Amino acid sequence: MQSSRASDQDQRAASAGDVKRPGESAEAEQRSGDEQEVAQLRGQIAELEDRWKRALADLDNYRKRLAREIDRRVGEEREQLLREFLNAVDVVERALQLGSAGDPTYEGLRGLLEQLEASLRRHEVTRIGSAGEAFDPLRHEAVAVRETDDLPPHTVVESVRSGFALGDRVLRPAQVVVSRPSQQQAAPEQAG
Amino acid sequence: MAKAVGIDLGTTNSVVASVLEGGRAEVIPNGEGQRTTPSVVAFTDDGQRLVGQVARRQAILNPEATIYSVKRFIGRRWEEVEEEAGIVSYRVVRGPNDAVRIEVRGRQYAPEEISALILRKLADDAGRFLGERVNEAVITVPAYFNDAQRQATKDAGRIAGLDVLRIINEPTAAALAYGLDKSGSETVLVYDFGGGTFDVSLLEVGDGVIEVRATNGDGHLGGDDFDKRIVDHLAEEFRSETGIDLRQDPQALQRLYEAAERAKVELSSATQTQINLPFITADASGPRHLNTSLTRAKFEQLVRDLVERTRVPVETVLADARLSPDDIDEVILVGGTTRIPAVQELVRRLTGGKDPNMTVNPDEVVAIGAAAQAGVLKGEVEDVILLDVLPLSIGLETLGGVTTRLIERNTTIPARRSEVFSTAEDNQQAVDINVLQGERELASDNRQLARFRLEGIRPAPRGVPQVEVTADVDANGILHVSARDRDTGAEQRVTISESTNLDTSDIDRMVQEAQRNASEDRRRREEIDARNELDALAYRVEQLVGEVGDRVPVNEKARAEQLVADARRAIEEQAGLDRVRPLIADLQQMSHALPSAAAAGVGAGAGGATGAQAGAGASQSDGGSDDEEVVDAEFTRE
Repeated sequence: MQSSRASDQDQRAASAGDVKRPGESAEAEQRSGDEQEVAQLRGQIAELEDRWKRALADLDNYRKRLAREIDRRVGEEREQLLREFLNAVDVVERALQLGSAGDPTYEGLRGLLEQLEASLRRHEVTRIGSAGEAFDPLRHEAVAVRETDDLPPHTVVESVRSGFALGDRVLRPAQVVVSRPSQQQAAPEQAG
Repeated sequence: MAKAVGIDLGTTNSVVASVLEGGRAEVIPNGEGQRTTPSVVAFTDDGQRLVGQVARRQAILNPEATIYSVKRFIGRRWEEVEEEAGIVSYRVVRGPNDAVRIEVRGRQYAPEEISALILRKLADDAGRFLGERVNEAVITVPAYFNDAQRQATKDAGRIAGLDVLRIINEPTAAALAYGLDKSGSETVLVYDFGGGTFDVSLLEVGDGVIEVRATNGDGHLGGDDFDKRIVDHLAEEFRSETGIDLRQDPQALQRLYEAAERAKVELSSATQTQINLPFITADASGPRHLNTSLTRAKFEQLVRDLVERTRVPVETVLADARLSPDDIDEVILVGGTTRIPAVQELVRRLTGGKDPNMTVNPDEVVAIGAAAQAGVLKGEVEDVILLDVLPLSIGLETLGGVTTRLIERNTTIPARRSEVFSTAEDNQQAVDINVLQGERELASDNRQLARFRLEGIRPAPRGVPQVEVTADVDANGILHVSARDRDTGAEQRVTISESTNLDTSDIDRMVQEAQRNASEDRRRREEIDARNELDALAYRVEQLVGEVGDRVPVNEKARAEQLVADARRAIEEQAGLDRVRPLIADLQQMSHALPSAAAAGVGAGAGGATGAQAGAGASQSDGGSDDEEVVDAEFTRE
């Protein structure tokens, strides 16, 4: 504190001294040149400081985004792994579709499927897309259309490959056959 | 300031990217978490508009109102696309002034309106990711697009509520993504093989301007054709074995396509892949399985003519520009199909053996270039200072002649790293700092940049003095190395100016040498590290014997002395791991056994005070060498 006050006084003394000697143009020019340079340097400092702070902010924002990105990637990897695993579940389901109850192999496969489903449930993976649901492209992928009047239009008639969701995220949509009204009914609908 | 994005509005898929922190352009995942979005729009009968993957999932239910490949129609006149209009599943009609219109449920849409829905979804998803609404974009179009097609694309952006900063050519965007606009004058060939189209363009780069010299391609050739070849091959094979044509069964066909695409992807890195579709179908004899394998050679044979079909367009652009393959300076690969080794091989052959650029993801390179352009137009990229990286690691020689790296290669500079080292011998009064550059494990294999000595270290047992060495590479690539004795504050420093300006060929050679010798170097380093560890242990046990030796059983003391002698001899004879490792284990055991044996001895007799003191002394020397900041590796002995 003390030293800064002292230097303030020095400056005042110096400027008072300047006032006493007016009209020395060379010196004035020199001074305005100096002032210009000071202004220029101040501008440069401000710019550099701005850049520096931006760089720091960028780094900070990058760090935050990276944290989010890591979460996302980890989640993605997990989903990818689960999806691979679901292929095996599909095979068992199809084998059961083609087999017949009572056959020891069939019963064994059914046990296996139950086991697989229990592990999936433990990891919050749930089956989505069964017959009777209204078709929803967020959860279902239409692979075929079947004309029927037994179900309202745009209803899942059959799920040919189960869909699965992890929590509320769709891991894989169910591949489904979707209903369509038979032709004689479809005609008036199109006209309307 | 609002962010501007770059959008690659593709025929089958679209990608959005933006300049993020540090001025780097990156792809932004869409709302579903995917990095590419199918260019598909659907109008459902309950009045919804679906865009992307969800639109594709309901296509079969709603073929007349699911619009794909709209890029083939944008900005075209009716007579130009009549044939194309016959291929798609939705209705394409002739509008006013010969314009093309898409008719959905009795309402006519201009192709621009459909493209606008895709653009809006991409911009919305990007806005959610960036945390601010996106209103400005650079959109890419094929180099062959005429003015009407460009204008229509721009209009699509406007309909989507976007201020289209610029429409740029896809190959130009790819060149921008590789920063080729900053190099001198160059001829660049861009080979773009996507899902459904093939384009090749020849660019002339000079003074920051990129000009398309010639362009050619095939509007109906892409990765989807490759998938179909695999599907047909598998189906034929299956039919010849079972008599069943899987292509007649839509569900089996779907699974075949999924398997084919997976096989195609795998064959880009593996030379053989397994295809298993158990229970694919059933006949009177029961379930049928498709279990087969596909080699890369067989795959290449299946698609040879498809790959060959890109030859003429490449030759044509060269002829049109009156250039020979030798005139090409750079080759850029765009589109997922360029991941196929056979495609890369053909490109190499057609361009005079040049290694193509493929470090940027070929599915994303166009969007990344567009985002970079958007960044430049918004003044975001202008301020970016190009930061250099350290071409080779900087390190020090430590005990046993190994290199301890301070700054790893490829670190962005300016950078500074410090580490604390210690002495290798009791009462060592000076340390030699040998500054090295290179990737090899042994100091003698690396390049010596400087050597200096820090003197005046106060006498102390080995491992106790702390010498902090700092390597600092400034923004100009000048390396400053300093060594400071934390005890006395004495410091020595050296400045090396030529550390980063090596020839790239020298750098490459040094990196390659390191890779070639990696396993041998690692083995030698392991040996030296093990001998260093053994030496430190022998020292510790020797100290222990000196401190507590008179209170342990004589045979124990003798065994300890014998072990220390064995260790010293092994070190002197530069013994291998098989001799050093057991000695390390024995000495470790001994270093634990001696103090407890001594304590037991003390408990039985008198002189508890001295025992406690000695124990403290031992643990202190322990703490010295295990100090968290002190690196195990120590300076070379004097």
